[in-house]
Amino acid sequence: MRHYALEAKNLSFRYNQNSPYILKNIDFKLQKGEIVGIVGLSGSGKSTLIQIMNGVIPKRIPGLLEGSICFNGEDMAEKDLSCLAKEIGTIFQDPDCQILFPCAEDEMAFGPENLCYDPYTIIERINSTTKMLAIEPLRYRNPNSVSGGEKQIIALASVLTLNVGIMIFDESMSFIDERGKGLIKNAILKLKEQGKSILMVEHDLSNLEVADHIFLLKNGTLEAFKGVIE
Amino acid sequence: MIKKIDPRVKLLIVMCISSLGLAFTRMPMLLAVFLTGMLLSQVLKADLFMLIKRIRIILYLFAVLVIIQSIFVRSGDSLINIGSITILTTEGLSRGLAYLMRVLIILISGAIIATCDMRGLIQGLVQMKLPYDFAFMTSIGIKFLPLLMEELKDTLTAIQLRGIDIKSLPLKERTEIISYIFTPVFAGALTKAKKLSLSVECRGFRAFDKRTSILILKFSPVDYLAITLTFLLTATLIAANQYFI
Repeated sequence: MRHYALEAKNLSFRYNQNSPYILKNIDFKLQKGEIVGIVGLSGSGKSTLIQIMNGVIPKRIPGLLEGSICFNGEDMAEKDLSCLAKEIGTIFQDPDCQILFPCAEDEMAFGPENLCYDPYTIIERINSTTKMLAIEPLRYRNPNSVSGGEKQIIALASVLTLNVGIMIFDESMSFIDERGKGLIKNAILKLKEQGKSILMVEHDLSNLEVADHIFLLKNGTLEAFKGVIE
Repeated sequence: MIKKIDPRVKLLIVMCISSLGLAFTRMPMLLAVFLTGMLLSQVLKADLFMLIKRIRIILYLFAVLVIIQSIFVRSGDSLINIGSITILTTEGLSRGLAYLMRVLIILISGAIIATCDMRGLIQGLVQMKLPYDFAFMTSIGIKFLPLLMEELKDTLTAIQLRGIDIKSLPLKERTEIISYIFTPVFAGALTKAKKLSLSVECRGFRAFDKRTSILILKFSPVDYLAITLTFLLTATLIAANQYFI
């Protein structure tokens, strides 16, 4: 049986019995080594969908979730957040809300240290990640003293050292300039080459030029994107 | 070499001088602890003046507390009288100055701690058997202070851009405006904290009871020397205090 990296079946979500549905009957598949983009206007449910895909809803943010969501064929409902951290990495919109340490290397080590990886393995992963993203000069820099794009690249590197198979980008190009966007897009293409499955959620369609398929999230429903957003 | 001193040694130094500052009651001994702390902070290249600059608003509050402390102690000989009312006594002045010394000793301790890098400090606390969660949360709390200040500054600028000059307002209106500022500032800080906690959880924070670390602190000969000197200084100060009683 074929397993998708991420698969949502008939997914609906609302915060409680009395609130309206934020997402309605979403069917979605992300294959291994594929980049899928989801575009939508503000309030269309993009962030909610991301939080369901990375397990934050309903494990940390309560709500009524209907349907099922699987990663690599396994039901996400049966896994806790820390277990999902080994499989799914999320890069959020604002790098300032992700970066904790005043040294990029410490930031990259934080995730694998939490998951009890051997220090030598962690160092190796930091070496390979900095090399892959070409950010060796940033390794010992303070993330607060670099540009927005470089900061977001450090946030990306700190997720990559977890060696996850699925990467979710939650409007991660919103806060950065064109040069920064270029850095992120290059990194995404390199990740695709490595066989990572990538889900990008954006409100700006131009940020999704690297995607293999694009879907439009409109009024809580997902449909194939055919052209212009109204 | 001094910069490389183990964070645990700095924590020991801070623990010793702040404990002595709290334990001693006599002015000469508090002055001795203060001078020792000043000397150590200079040896450890602590930027005391930057710290004072950063917290100067709180320092005004301390100054007021010192005056209150001095005025409300009635024992001792009177120093300043207005008519038949005694404003300041020798005991009041002595307690006020002792309070000031203690505050300065705590400030010196803070400046010494500030010379540690955040990662080293967390690791030092963890290697001193403090739970990682506690050490991590404390350091994140410190990270949040500048964020809160930044949020406050942005909100104040936003208000000023709408044509309100806060400084020129009467006290009542100024208080009212400041009360309006607090809601967006704290709401913004809470939103940031929520996002940060999600990001941290998505990277496996608290996944297991223990965690590994690429940084392991080891004492060097300089650290052993610093520990010995700290104990010697502490013992000398305690002995001096006993002798003078």
